[in-house]
This record gives sequence, structure tokens and C-alpha cells, in this order.
Amino acid sequence: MKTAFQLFITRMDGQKVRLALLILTLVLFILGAGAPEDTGGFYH
Amino acid sequence: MFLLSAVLLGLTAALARAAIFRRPLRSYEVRCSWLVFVAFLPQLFAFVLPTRATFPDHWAPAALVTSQIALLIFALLNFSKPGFWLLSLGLILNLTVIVLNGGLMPISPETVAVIFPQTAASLPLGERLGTGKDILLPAEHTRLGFLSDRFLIPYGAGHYVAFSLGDALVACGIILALWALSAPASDTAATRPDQNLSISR
Repeated sequence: MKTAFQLFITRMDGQKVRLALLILTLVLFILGAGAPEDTGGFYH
Repeated sequence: MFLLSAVLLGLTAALARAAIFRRPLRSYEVRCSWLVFVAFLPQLFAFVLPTRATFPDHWAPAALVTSQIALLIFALLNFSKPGFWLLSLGLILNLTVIVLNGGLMPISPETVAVIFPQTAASLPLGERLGTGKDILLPAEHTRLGFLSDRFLIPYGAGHYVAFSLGDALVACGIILALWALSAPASDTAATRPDQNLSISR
């Protein structure tokens, strides 16, 4: 029986992984680049 | 929430365009993406994880500045990619005002009074604001105050978000960078034909 992780790896081919990594990279970039609070805006 | 909203907007727009024109989302090559993950680590410990409560205030500026310098190097290395010139410019503006004001993003008492109307008066001037990236500075003592967190937009009922001019440019840059995922193959010279993800299935 395949584990959830194995299923995930099977379904995620290289193209999807590259796309996901690019989006993750961009999200981390803006979280770091935005000067205020964690999400890029000092909020309450 | 301001910048994450830009991510949602960019992704939604890219998915909609891909669906309308029945073409795949295409990843494009970015150089040294590992740099972003490494650069974010200091901020992760200083501002995000529970460690931020014990992270010394005098280390926070070093964590923020070194992290943003690394992010700027990444943005400049990928300057030719869609939206990255805006990401670079926004980051330069934020980094400039941060460095000129002691290593944290300045925010004025007037702006904080709108965000925290009940507690603003008791917050100490010249100190880091809570466990965040901001420092509470009067406008007259802020260098390049027009680049600080001085703009406000409503966020929910009675709540506001402050952001800077640099944040606005970064938001525009991220929308362009995500929008480019749905561009025709001929539009992105750096895109390889094998790097696509069909959403039509």
C-alpha cells in the first residue's frame, strides 16, 4: 500500500515540481522583501 | 496580507488567462533560487517563528538587512525575468529606508494610531514595534519618510494595513511574475517547451 507521500511523489512530475518551486520562491521572496510584519503589511 | 493578496491576484489572473486561451502554465528558469530560501532563514527566526519572542531586538536589524541584501542579489541576478525589475526596485526602496533608519522599517506614531488606536499612545518611540520589522519613529526624525510604512488600506472591519512605496512596487512585480506563467511560449524566451503544466485536463 502506497503511503500518502509516495502517492504525492508519483503524481508530481518534474514540471509540476518546477512550477511549485518557482511559486514558492516568489512567495518567500515577497515575505522577505516586504518591510512590515510577517505578511508584508503591518496589520492588526 | 497586502503582499499575499498580490500573490493571490497574480495566480488567479494567470490561471484565468491560461484557462481562457487553453494553454499550459509555464515555469521559467530563475537563477540561484536557493538564495531566497537561505535569505529568508534569518527573518524566519527573527519575525515569524515563536523564536521571535526571544530574538534580541538588537539582532533584528542585522537579520533583516542581511536577509534583504541576499534577496536583492537574487532579484538582480534575475533582472531580465518578468516583473523582476519591479521586485528589485521595490526591494531597493525598502532596503534604503531601512538602512537609513537603523535597520528596521520606520513607521510613524500617526500611522500606528490608526492601526492600534487603543495602544498607540503607550508605545515607546525609537523602539522596535512588538516583534515585527518596524521601528516607531516620528516623521520628523525619519530619513526618507516617504519610503516608510506610511500608506494605509482597510483590511477587514475597522482594521488597517500599513505598507510602503517599495511594498507597492514589490506587489506589482509579483503580479507580473505570476502573470507570466500563463504567457504564450513565444513571449518568454527563457521558457523551455518541456517546462509546462497543462491545466486543461
